[in-house]
Amino acid sequence: MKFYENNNDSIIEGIKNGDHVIIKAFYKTHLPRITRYILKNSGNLDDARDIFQDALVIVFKKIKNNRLHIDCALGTYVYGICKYLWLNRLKSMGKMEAFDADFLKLQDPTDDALDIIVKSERKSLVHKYLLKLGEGCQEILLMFFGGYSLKEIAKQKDLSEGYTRKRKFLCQKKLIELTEKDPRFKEFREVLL
Amino acid sequence: MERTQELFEKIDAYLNGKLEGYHLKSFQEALKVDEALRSEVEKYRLVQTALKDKEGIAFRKKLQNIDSELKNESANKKLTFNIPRINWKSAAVFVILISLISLVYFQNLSSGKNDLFASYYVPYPMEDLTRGEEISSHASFNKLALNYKNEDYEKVIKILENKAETAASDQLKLYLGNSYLNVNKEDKAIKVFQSIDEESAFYDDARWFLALTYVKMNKVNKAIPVLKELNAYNNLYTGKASELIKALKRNK
Repeated sequence: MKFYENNNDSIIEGIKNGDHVIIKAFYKTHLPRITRYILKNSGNLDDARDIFQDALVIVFKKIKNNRLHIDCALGTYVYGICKYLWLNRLKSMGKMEAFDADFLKLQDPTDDALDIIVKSERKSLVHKYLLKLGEGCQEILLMFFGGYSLKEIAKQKDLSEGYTRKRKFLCQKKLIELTEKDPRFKEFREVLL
Repeated sequence: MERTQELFEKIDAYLNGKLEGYHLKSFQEALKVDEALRSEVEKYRLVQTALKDKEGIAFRKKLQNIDSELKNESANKKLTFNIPRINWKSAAVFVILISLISLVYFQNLSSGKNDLFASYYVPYPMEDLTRGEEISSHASFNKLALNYKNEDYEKVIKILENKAETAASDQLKLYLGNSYLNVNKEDKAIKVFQSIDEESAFYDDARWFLALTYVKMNKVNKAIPVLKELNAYNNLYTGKASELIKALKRNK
């Protein structure tokens, strides 16, 4: 099939390999459709971008873990995830009651799509706010939680260990503060506790 | 609960199995009775789990960069036709034609010419079409493409008319709608463009041609809301929709 949009295999391969051109083309093609849906359902442009990125991260993880089994065009599947994420967000904001998420299972009948989405959303929230921190903070936190000791980080960054320790604390504190201010966090917390 | 460096380090040691003996026992006892402490531990655990996912973070960062690039491109009004479902060459020609025609229109405006439809209308480009059930054979597809490119719209209508009413793809509907528009069957064009669902990837195209159909029929009050809708978010027609709204208001 020459028609690029419907060529799931090449898009999936592109996403898996982090191909900038393919991901950008997919992003540019499908964001308007998601935006239309969210604008018509009480959201704004930022919500649309946020939801679309969350959905793409979910798809990326599923592709990486070989857990993407869909019988439709990838764009249609991403649209379905966006719908689910947005309806879920409206629900958590008290703007709507329970909804039927069977449309997602129809697109991805073979796995635990909803469960993966809920788990990914929690992580996505932290990722979103991590990327709002300065580069220095991001680096220290990623190194620390990536397994480096504070002593190793201090050595690599040419900082004192005491300063690195303090900096890691302040960065993490800021990250938690930003994350817990998000209205979605309350809902996740109820699940976690 | 006040967040201190000491608290974070204690939680970190607890979660990583580095608390021992008395310290471990007293922390476990505190967890049993202190809900705020339990909450802090869970938040710490969430951050720890999330930040271990380096791949996910890098991918989100990539998406944010792409989003910024697209915003900049849009702000610079450089309509880059990387859209994969459109044949690159056709799309490029399509945009250049729209741009040139708009330019001619604005130049002509001062000399009194005022045909907005003619100024903005460029037929939806023929491209590599998905040949599904609707256009099942290679020959049928070639025939359709050739007739459309040769502006033999009556023949295109004949090929597509029945299919579009049943299960034709939205892309085929765009060709049918454009063909109606070119043989002055605007009412039929409107019906076809309106039949493209808002969840379709071709919805923006359909709205643009719907608006142009209204412009052609001089139904400015119907065209403007459709153009405003296109102008509300970033898509292929955002800039042109905004220009056309202004032009329509000036001509009212």
